Amino acid sequence: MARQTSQPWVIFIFHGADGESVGARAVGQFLLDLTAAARHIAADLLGQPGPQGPLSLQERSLVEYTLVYSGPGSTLKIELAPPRPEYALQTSLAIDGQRSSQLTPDVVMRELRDDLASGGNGRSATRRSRAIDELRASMRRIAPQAGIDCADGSRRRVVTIPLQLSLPADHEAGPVRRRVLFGRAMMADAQPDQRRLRVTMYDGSSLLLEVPNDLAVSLRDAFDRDVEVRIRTVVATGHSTVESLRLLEPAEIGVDVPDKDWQTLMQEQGLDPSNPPDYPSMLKSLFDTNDDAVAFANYLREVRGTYDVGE
Amino acid sequence: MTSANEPAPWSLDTNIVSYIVREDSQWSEQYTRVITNRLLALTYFGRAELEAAEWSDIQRVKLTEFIESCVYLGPPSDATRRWFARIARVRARLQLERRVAREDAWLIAQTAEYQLPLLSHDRNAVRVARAIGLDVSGTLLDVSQLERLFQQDERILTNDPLPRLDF
Repeated sequence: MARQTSQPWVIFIFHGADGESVGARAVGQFLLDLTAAARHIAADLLGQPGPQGPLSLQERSLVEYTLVYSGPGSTLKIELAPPRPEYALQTSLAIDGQRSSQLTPDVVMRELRDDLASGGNGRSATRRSRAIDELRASMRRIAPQAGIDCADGSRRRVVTIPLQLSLPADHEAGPVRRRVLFGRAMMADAQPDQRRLRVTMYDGSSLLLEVPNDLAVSLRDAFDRDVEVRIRTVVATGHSTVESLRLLEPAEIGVDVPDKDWQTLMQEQGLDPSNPPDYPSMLKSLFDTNDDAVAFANYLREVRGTYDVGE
Repeated sequence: MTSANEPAPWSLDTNIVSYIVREDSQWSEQYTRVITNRLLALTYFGRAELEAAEWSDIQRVKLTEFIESCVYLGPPSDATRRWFARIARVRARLQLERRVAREDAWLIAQTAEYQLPLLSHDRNAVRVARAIGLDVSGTLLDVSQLERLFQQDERILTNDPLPRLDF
């Protein structure tokens, strides 16, 4: 499992537009997003609901790399050195199970490369895809076009030519999706023309959001606080903007994800989503007559005390 | 057994059951289509509501069979309590305290904890669930009426000023 450390293991390549040089200002944020995405992929591959809390040693072995920055110039390269051999060994010892035994940093990075190259579908259905969306947005902020070159565990390049990712420019047109996030608000950066907020959710994932100027005062009060953030996302681009911030009450603050996600419960309970039961028949067989069904409806009205179907 | 393409199960609000089974329900056929070919999930609270109704011995056997065919989310946890607090807050901001019962709020809270889509035919429960970020697209309530309410709710929720902090 020992690796040489002299050769770069993964290279992200950012191509400047029209020969303009690519600055390295956003590299720090990009690496944070890279770590978050890798953690989500690792958790996903391990069948866990998502990363929680600070980086564990096991996760560290999968997502911590040594950064080598090459540049400046019209192309910015961020080279990630291989994980240290002792981390790789700990990884193989620490993770149990057949599926997990194959989980190495190489697997995680290959998955990450594939996720990025898939281009996304505009629907952030999972925490993992949200993390990938965020990483993609982070790459887009560095350069309009970016590539990733990834080597597998045996040091052979699996992609020999940088894979060009088509990253559309941000714009506000098209369908908009609204979301509500709960987490800790952290300062990302603040410049005269742009304010950004990082929200770290209670499952450990985080999101970088642009904040409009009219929320600037609220933003100052919200830093280092637990907040509810209402955001709008342009579906076509994944570009997200904060619409409102609200400080959470103490009762609202804390880990808000279940110990086991619904997929795990479904598997444990022996249910197969590709072959769901005939629920309508099961429900209709519950009631012998329509009077029974009406009585059940009346029972619900009594226990709920309220009911509104808008008519 | 599972695939990333499989949709998440509907978290079933118990009122859907009566809309499906009542012969005089205009929504029976449509809700039947909504729940066909997709798993259902039952919250702790939805299951308790079902089990607490009056059933004959034969009906109770069938009820158990139905419950066991749904993804059961289990008893509430600390995470459920936090979501309940958030639901209560949203409900208050939308001034729906008297229209969304505590039982509904718990059901929505556990649905939010698991980030499942909610299937409900209660307009105010749908508004609160939507305001907390849940997918409520399965409902057969009047869409144009709902959309107006959603826009109104968004205005309320995004215009609320951040309370001043005392340092």
